[in-house]
Amino acid sequence: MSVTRRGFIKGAAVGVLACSGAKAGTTKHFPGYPGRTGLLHDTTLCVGCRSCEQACNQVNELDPLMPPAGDHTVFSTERAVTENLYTVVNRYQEKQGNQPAVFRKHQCMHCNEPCCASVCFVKAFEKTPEGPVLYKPELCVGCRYCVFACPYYALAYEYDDPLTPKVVRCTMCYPRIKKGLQPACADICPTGAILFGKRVDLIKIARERMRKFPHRYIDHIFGEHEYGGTSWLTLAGVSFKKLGIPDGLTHEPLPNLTTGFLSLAPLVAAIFPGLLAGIYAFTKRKEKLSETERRTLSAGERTEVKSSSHKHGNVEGGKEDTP
Amino acid sequence: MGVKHSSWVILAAGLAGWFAPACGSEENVSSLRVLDASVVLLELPSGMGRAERPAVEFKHGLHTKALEHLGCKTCHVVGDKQIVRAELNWPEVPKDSRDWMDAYHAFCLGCHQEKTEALLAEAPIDCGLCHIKRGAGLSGRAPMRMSASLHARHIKAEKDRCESCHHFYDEKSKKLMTQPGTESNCSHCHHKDHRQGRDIISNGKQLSYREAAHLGCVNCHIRRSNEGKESGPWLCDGCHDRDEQTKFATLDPVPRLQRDQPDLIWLDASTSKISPVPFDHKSHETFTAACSDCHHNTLEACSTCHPTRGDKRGEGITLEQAYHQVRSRMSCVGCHNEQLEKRVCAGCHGMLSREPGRDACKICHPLADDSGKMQDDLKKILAPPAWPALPNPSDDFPDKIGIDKISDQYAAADFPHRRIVLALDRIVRENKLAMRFHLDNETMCAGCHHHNPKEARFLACSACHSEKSHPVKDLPNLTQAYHRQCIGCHQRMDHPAQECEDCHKIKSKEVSP
Repeated sequence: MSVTRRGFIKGAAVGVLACSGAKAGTTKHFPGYPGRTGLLHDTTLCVGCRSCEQACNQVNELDPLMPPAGDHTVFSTERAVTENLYTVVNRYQEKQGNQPAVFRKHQCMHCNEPCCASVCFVKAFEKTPEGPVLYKPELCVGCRYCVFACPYYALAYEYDDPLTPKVVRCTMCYPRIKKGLQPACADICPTGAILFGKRVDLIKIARERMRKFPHRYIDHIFGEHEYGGTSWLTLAGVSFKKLGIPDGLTHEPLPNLTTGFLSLAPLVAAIFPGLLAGIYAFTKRKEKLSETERRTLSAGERTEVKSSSHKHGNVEGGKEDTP
Repeated sequence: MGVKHSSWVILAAGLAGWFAPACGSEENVSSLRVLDASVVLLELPSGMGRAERPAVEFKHGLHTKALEHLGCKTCHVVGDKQIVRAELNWPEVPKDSRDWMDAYHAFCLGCHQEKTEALLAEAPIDCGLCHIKRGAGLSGRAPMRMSASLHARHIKAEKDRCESCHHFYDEKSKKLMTQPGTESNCSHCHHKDHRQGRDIISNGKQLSYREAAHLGCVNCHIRRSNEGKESGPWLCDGCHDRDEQTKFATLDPVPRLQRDQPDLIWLDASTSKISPVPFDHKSHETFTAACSDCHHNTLEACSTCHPTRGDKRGEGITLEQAYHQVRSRMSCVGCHNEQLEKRVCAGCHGMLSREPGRDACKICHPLADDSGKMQDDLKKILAPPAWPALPNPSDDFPDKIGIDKISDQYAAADFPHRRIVLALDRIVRENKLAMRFHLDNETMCAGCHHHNPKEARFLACSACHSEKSHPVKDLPNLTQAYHRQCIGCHQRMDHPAQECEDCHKIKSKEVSP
């Protein structure tokens, strides 16, 4: 069977379309699970009491909070989440007269389109319809791609555990949400700086606060759109850059930047053996053909040479043979 | 020429405006040197290409001191009536970059070479001694501000002769004229951006603000000093050194500036349907730092540039907007709103919405109907409002309130209700603006008792805030409401009680899981 030029181009076009993945294949947009929950952290109301850290440690059965809540010495350095501290409150601006200090709580943001899930090749992360991004330690192989893929540096790893190390992070208190309770941090917050609710309601509340108190807020809800949006939303009275959040982040979900390329991987796995085998067979056949041709040709030549030498043998052949 | 709000740099070297204060050059900032207030940077005029060598940091103060006995004419053009001009005394004005370099070299080096031995032992001649590549310098120079007090001192010294400084340019006679009652800010005519009026002296155009200020201020100070009168500084440091500026004598109280302005006035837009605003102009003069806080750089009425339909002169801002723009510091509403950021006001107002209430208009526009007898009532309307005395403690006005309903890990807190009300009452009584806008005790109480129905008895916090928060309504629970209200107010008023144990004792440190 021979491959015509037209046939080859057709096949290639179908292949390319298939490679471009699901994105090009749909005209629909999935805005996220309806009714999913989220949390709003209003940094203008946060007083840095660290009750949320304490409640988090208790609910997640971690070691007791050290130094205990109310100890302000911890604010001298910016802390990151650890395997023993799923959420941290950091101070980004000190008190100046009647300008109160500015704090921000940091933890897993529970992205709408999580990077940790997109890089995980064993599907150990799952975005639940309720909002939280869940982690399944039984599937995890410990590659820690997720830890490095997280744009918010919100994942920690149990490096100290030699046998069953896990990736650890805020679970958004998924078990509590399932029971109809609020996440522990929102429950304990003495000023209501952390508000739990449906994400759509929280965005409405945040907008209303910004409208009513324009003097208190920067006109932006961090997490509404950044990297495709997050479950945790943040309101601020000072620029987000001062709060350790990079500004001007793209609204494009980060996984979109890699899925187009990574979706080719299975395709490569599926097509390449056949393709390579085909190319191999083709070259083999070519070699075989050319070999046969060569043989036929050389046999013919020989006959031809023979006959011609026979013809002119007396003149040239005799000369050749003669030393 | 105007002295008001002018910048008093002694900048008598180089053709005026051809140099910039030696701060913020493109060099790295890590090695910041603090420069003398009198340092001016001598560089090529912009658009003349790159100079071969780094610009010269010219120490004007040092030269003035060394050449004091020879006078300003050593370097500067001294015109009629001994007026020292900013231009240098060079034979002809240089044209291209080569010309400039030669002119400076001839000018500076000529003097340095001639006088090195006799007068200025340290006057450098070698290239590298003047053209030194240095990191950016932090200038010790501060802009000169003509405060109300300083202006009053000038009025006193000039014996109320405004024309000593204030003038205007008459197009017909091509001369500077004076007209009492039309005085305005220097920057009304003299451009603030000195680059826009750089070679104005040679072009005969209007002087830049900087040139005008130096020409006027410095010469007047020199003249008065020569005449043996009390005079201001005429060296760079005298006006521009940060430390020197703090030493200026101030008048207390600052006498009122007289420019035929009214004491009380009706702000009335003839086309407006709402009643005019009785305005206490005299009081507002004391509330503001300068006339320009409201009047920009002229002293004309708002409606001159902001007519009811807007005008090019007022950037299209209508009269209504000029009075009400929330985000402008120059509008009535904008400035009043800004007062709410003050420590004493921010306690309540930081938490209250800035949306105008239903009765907000009435406070400034008090007359419901436009009666013809407005003028007679002005004084009465603007009289300080009667502020009723606080009632005695009762069930409706408790002395102390125990906050114990939600006591859990912390012991009950004693809320000193009456003490707080008394403190707020005192703050309001001390502030005319607060007296005018709070109308009565109840308005003040609404700082905490927000959303309380009008004319109803004040409700306790727990009337709306229950044990559970209502996220959809953005209604915090009782614990959150207390903490938000109390801590927020203490923070904004810089009250010392901001930690847990300042208000209630801890029962146990454990939080129930």
